[in-house]
Amino acid sequence: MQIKVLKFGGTSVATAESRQLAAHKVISAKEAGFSPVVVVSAIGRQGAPYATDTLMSLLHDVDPLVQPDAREVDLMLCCGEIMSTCIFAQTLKSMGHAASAMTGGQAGLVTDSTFGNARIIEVLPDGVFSVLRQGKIPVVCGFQGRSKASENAVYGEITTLGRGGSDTTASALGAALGAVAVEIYSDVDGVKTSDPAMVPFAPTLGKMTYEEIAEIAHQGAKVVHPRAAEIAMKFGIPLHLKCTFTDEPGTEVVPRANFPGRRVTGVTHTGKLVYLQFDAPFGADKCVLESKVYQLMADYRINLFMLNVHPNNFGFAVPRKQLPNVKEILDGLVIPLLDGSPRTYIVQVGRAGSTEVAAQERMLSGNTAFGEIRKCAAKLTENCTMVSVIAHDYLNQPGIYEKVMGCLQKASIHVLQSTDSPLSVSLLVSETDCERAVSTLHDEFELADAI
Amino acid sequence: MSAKHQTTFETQRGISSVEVSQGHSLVIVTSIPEADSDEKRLFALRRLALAGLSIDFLKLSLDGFSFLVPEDDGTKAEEALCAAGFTAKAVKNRAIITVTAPNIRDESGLVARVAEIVVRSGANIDSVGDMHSSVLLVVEASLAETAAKALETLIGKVDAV
Repeated sequence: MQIKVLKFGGTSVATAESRQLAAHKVISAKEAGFSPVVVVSAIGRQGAPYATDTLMSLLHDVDPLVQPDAREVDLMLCCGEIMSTCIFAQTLKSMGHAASAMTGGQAGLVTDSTFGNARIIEVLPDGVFSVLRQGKIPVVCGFQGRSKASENAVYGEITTLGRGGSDTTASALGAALGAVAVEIYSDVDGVKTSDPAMVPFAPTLGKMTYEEIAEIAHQGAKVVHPRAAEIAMKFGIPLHLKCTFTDEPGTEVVPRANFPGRRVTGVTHTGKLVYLQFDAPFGADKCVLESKVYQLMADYRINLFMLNVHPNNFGFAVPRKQLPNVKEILDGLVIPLLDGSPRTYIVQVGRAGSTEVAAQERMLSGNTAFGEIRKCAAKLTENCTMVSVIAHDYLNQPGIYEKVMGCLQKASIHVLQSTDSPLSVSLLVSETDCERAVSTLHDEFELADAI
Repeated sequence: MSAKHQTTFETQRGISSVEVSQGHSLVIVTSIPEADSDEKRLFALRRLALAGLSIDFLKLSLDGFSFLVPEDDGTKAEEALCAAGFTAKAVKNRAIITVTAPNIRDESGLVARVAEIVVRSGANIDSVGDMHSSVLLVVEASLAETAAKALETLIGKVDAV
């Protein structure tokens, strides 16, 4: 039995027509001698009647002030995939092929009990094999699993896998079933060298390594989730990224040993970010201020990007949607340093002091125990985004930074900050420059000719 | 086709390993006027490329920039830049701490927690970079092991944040 896992994203199952096209891919695999196992996402994208965010809003709309329990949120979110799975199985039946819809739990996906972002502990694929033995096509809900039984949950709980969960389901099932391939279908024909909305003729990459796909996804390309790539790499499952609506070969993801790679893989962009740069005094006080700020950012689960440290300042970018939280946490924060000669810092977010900062100043100024009152002001640079060049060993070449910065300067694009890793160079630029930065770098590295 | 197919899957969330790589120099370039900083930085980067130096961890500052090179290249970088009229200083004895944490951007707050622990351990962070499965921090070599030990306390903790 040669098993092939085919996963279809939201747009691939959004309408009766698209489901028919997706079903044809499944039937073609069956007719080619494979035993297909299907994984589906919820129907449609943001705003669609049964899409994940719509289901979520049904809960929130009950009373926006009452936060729903994570357990109930997961139960609710799973409905989208369950509906999609049943409809897709019915579509296959209507085309003359026996099929059986299965929840993630029924398909044997056992997770930890972290609602909303569960990790797969194991896959017990007997249920899927049983359906295959009956000559039916298993159609499995992506994005969900079931936690192990515990004292508080005798039969386990339904869990969701978080962002990119359906891709992860497909890879995990592929590994557990010993599949010959996992095919991830969406509305684009594989991985492009850049966002086609910014570089209209960005070519599709025929092959990529697991590391490249994980990094390109990490840096913002909406291709396949890094978790899915990680599982496929761990178990050596060939991963293919294809389009439901065409017969293009798409992108094949392979081990690095099988592919010499290319100089540069692609140029991505991600996130609406705000950059905060804190003025802090040199020396021991800076360490205390820095560690307090980092501690609070961790406690409140703020995602930090582009950390930047200098003797007299430190900074980082945060997602724009988290800025109100960051302001709430940091603006007016009082950090007393009462050793030796007492001094107290008040953190100020933004150039102009808020009423919160003014109030703290007033309260502290009359109290000698707090010593000298000093400000630790954070300059805000709003409307930023991160543009990244993804590459393998090429980044070790002398002159790579000159090439990156030089072409951007020539295009009059100001780089606010940079960061890098062995797989990428990322640049913080103004959102208004994002499209030009992406296309400039795409041209500079001649990615239009990439294959 | 049954129980033998039972498999363990995903890497546990949070930090799975901490490694220290010694032997780096941090080169700090200062005194570049803000008005023409882009042009001057580019000129400096060109000089480094001509000197055959591969740099990492480029970070921009208001009056200059900094970057990391292998320890043996620190002096060479400093000389190349000073010869071109820049104020540059190579600080030796730098180490990179690599903290492996799969899908680190999905673990909100984890980068901040890592930074907090390193600073609390007494090490000043010179620079930070990240990739899909790790965060990399540049610190003074003599403090790297202490910082790494502090970070190791988070290994295996499912909710490290």
